[in-house]
Amino acid sequence: MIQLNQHATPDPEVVVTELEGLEGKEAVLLHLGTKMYFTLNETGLRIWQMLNSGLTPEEISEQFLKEFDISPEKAKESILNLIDELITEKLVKVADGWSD
Amino acid sequence: MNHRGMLIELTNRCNLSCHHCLDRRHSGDGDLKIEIFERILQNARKHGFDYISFTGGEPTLHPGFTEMLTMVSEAGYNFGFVTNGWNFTRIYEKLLPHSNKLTGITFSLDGAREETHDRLRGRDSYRRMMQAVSICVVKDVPFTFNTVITSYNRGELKEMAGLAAKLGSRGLRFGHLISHPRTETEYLGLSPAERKETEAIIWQLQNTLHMPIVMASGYYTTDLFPCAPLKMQEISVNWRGNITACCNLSGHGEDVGNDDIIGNLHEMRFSEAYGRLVQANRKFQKDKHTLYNNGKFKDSDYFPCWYCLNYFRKVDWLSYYPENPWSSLVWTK
Repeated sequence: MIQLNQHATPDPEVVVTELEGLEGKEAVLLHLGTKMYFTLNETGLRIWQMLNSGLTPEEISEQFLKEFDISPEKAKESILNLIDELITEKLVKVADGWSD
Repeated sequence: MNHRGMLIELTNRCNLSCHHCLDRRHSGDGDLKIEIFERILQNARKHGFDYISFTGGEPTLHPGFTEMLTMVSEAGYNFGFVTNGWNFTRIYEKLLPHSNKLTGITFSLDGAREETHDRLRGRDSYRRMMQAVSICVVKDVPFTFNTVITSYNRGELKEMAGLAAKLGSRGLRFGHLISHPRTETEYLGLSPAERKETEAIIWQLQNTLHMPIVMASGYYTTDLFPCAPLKMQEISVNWRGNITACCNLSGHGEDVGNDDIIGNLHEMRFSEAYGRLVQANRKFQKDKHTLYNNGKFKDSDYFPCWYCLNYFRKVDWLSYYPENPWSSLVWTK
């Protein structure tokens, strides 16, 4: 399971497509290796974007508290759960090192 | 019921410069005039055509593409188009209101592997197409793939079929390369024997996958008139407004023959051009029957597109490439 201060980065084999969904922005991820699709809602897309910027789950959580009306515990839980799912689907990779 | 389609080349412009594209064909700046398109829509149905396919160039680059989608949809035609997918993130929302008339989008896939596809079509073109495909899956837009077989990708036919199936494509169509000088200098073409080998692989794939796999007309066949244009089930209009015998002949570079151009819709009514096409088709069929009955058919003439390229004098340039395996098969004048 991913830790709050652990870096996880999108797999370069993933093609990301942002599009307008019925409930706002969403994204579809396609892994070129597995050929599997994975959709993200607007919140998931923000997490993906922040992972792509090199933020740790903890840093994403801090950013979430600024952007969304959500409790710190709920933010951390949601972020960690999604990242774990992305890892399972091979869409992100956990970096070897730990964040300072 | 047999559907009859019109292939309309909206533009000869293209954002890509693919190695296997017909020379000079897609490096221009010509667009089909909207008024010609309107006339086609007004008249095609009277001659039994109920389907419109936009081709190019890259059809989405036509400045009136969005307007044309509305026109074709409101005129009651089913439609589809062939695209490299590059602009799809920009245009897909314009398609959705017409989804009840959109029968499908054909993406040009030229390699199962990113490096193969991009080698032929340019950097990032594979990923841009995969973005387009992803949108189709999420928005439930039907799509298929079309692959031109070249020396670069002939080893990936099975992989391409697997890729298409996994991505959710409704089908995969393979087609032989239309030769032109550029393909020769880059050694993209296959010999007659190599073409037959690839066809055998494709026929085998048809029996092993649930997804429809077809070959575009041009494969080796003893049927003298195997393709939709010769059966008058499909007619083509190029961006200049010319009705032509076949889209594969239109705009062929470095050639001398233009007999495949039947008439221009700027100069004549649709029904007149259609009548001329019927006449030209009859003459073509008669000539082919005569050649066949006189025992003058070469084995290579059973590749129908090759036959037409000769008939319309589109491959005389091959005399400059004597080492090309097709060179000795060009008809003598």
